[in-house]
Amino acid sequence: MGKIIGIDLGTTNSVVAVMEGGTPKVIPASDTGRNITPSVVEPVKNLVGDVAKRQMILNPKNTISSVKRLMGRRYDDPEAKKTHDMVSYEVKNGKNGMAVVKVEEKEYTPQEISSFVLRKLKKDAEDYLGEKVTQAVITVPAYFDDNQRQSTIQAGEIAGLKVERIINEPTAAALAYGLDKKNAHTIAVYDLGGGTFDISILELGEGVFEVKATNGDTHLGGDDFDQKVVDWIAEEFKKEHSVDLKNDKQALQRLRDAAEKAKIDLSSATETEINQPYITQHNGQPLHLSLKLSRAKLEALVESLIRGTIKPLEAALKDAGLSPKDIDEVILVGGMTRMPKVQEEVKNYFGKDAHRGVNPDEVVAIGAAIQGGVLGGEVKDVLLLDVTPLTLSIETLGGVATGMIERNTTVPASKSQTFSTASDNQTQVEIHVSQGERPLAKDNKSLGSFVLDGIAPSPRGVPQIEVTFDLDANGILTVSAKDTKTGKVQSIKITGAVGLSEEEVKKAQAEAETHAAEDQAKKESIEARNQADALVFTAEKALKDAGDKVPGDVKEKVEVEVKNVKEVLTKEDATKEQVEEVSNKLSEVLQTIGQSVYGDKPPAEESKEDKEGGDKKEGESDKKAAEEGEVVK
Amino acid sequence: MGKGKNITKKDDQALVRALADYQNLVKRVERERCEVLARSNKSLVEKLLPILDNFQKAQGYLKDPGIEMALDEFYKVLESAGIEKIQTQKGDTFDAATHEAIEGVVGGQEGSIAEVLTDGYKWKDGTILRPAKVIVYNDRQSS
Repeated sequence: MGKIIGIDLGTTNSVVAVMEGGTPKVIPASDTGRNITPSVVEPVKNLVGDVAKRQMILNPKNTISSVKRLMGRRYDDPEAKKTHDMVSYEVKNGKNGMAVVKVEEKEYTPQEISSFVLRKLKKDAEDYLGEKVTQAVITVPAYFDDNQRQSTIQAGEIAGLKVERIINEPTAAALAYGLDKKNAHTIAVYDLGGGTFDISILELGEGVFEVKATNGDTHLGGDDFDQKVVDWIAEEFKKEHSVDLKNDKQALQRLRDAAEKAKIDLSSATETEINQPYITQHNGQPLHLSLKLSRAKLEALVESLIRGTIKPLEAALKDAGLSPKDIDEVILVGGMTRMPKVQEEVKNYFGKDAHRGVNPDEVVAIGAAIQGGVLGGEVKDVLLLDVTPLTLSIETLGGVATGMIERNTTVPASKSQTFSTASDNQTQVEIHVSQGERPLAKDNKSLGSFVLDGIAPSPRGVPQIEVTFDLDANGILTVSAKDTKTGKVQSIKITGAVGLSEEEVKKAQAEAETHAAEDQAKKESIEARNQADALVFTAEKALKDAGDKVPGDVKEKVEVEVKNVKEVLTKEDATKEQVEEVSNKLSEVLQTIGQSVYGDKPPAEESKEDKEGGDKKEGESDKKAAEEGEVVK
Repeated sequence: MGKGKNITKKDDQALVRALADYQNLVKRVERERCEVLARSNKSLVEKLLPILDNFQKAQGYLKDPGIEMALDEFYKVLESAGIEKIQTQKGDTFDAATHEAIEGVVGGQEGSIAEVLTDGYKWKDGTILRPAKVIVYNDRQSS
């Protein structure tokens, strides 16, 4: 069985998405690489999408846009009438009094026109997936009646798609945000698209979404916002140059592009410049357009439009018998909801932040793809592949939590790392497993610990302890430690570790953030101590190994510095700087041992050793890892 | 976690599908990686092209030989990045695959280009980066 694609068949634009490896993916149009395809069709020459839109102005009678407004409607329906007056193609009274469009003596039903768009999306999906696609989930507005839904199914069939399910656009948006997995609650979906505004109140119970109320304005959208900006720019230009740019088609086109760009810029910036040199000419002289538009000004320009969305909101809530505080979740759909002012107004109305994160242009298609995945039996199983919410670590020298399995790793996952001992003749190590984002193990949640003993007495850093973290798909963590020399293994199984509530995860992450600076300082201080400790070890070993070759005065100096470092290390509150200062001194005198032992021949020896080290890069890095991650206690 | 209840009870169908998805993903990632390498400059180029348009408009008025040289250099850089100008001139037949009609005017050969407003650009493999904006002779239906 092939994949079931999800299609957002929109009034202005359409989007197609599919489930892939358990996550939804929006499919780009093969001709433009863009994720959205304009719902524009020229049926005679069979042009669809951007290509159809590009020739619209030359071929207005044959180019069909916004046909969704006619879908499943009778010719005498007020909305059909309104559309008839708005568009440049011919809308006629067809069979059984249904609205149809007429292009060059041929009549097309709205579903036939829509099938052109669906066929293109189907083909884009096939090109992308490299396999045939025959099934789809298509979304429709919540207010679509049976007739309109039936027409949408027909459109799919004409395009060669079996429509497995028609779902409501707001429901698809809720699915995209995973709200179906939460407890029963009430959701408001605020959808401000290119040409239409819809508000839907949904109630979720037992995994089923019920539409409680819908409202909206079928003629309010992003295009109206753009027009306000175009009008403002034209007016400002007229004030300055006494030329009306709206009479110049080329200039008007550039003005529209510039207005849209300015609007988009102002969603992230608080001020933008609109610069269009050589926008037009006057008396043979070129004129340039240069204006500044602030976010505040833009908000003032479109205030009435945003206010226009509040009334339908109130009406929908009234129909549902609810008040704003009864709404548990708010979802924003449509490109216009990127505007901060829109988000703010919605927040003010409901008294809560809306869900964000999924691209508002694509959220409906994504929800449709998820529904397709559920119907295909794909989502249920694959979504079980979860991620670890927090980092799983092992405690190493100085109490540092050394991450083994980082947060957000998809499970099942496994990782091994080799550690060693921290002191001479250490015969056992304690493996302490913790969970959390703080750099010190004691600040994280302790999951358990065990001891690996029976390590053959040897100098510190010599034994190789291989620690393996294995997290299976069910969230069971097995930690094992193996002494590679003796082959002795100890392990622990941790089950209760990963069943964290969302709050617990959030809390742990928030804590890590709040303590980031102090944690970092602590960690650095511990690292400095560890290094100092290693240095003392090296110094003592060097003195012992070199024996009499070291002159008495050098030996004395080194011993003094070793004592200094040890003294500082005994102080609990010694700062990182203090530790570093004494270690540096020790490090300096330590070099004099080498000089006195090798006399005047050191360069040759040293370079030879360097070379060997370089050749054995792998072995060296192993050793480094072992030294850095020594297990203590 | 926690949700992963029955994963050990393997559903072969689902496993096969997941594997197929994965293999397809690997193939696509490789293909996309090649494309990304070739087109890593896309977003930057898309921002630079309008500025190039403005210099061309300025040159239309100024006809300065120095600016002409500078523009030529600019085209060479685009070409080295795998981007070609869509060769369009007055008199060519309008083609929505590479042209975007901004205006229809009367008085010339029906369906032919009356004026090129801004150049279009494409990738070497023919994919359109941006269509050329043109004015077209259109007696029949110009509004």
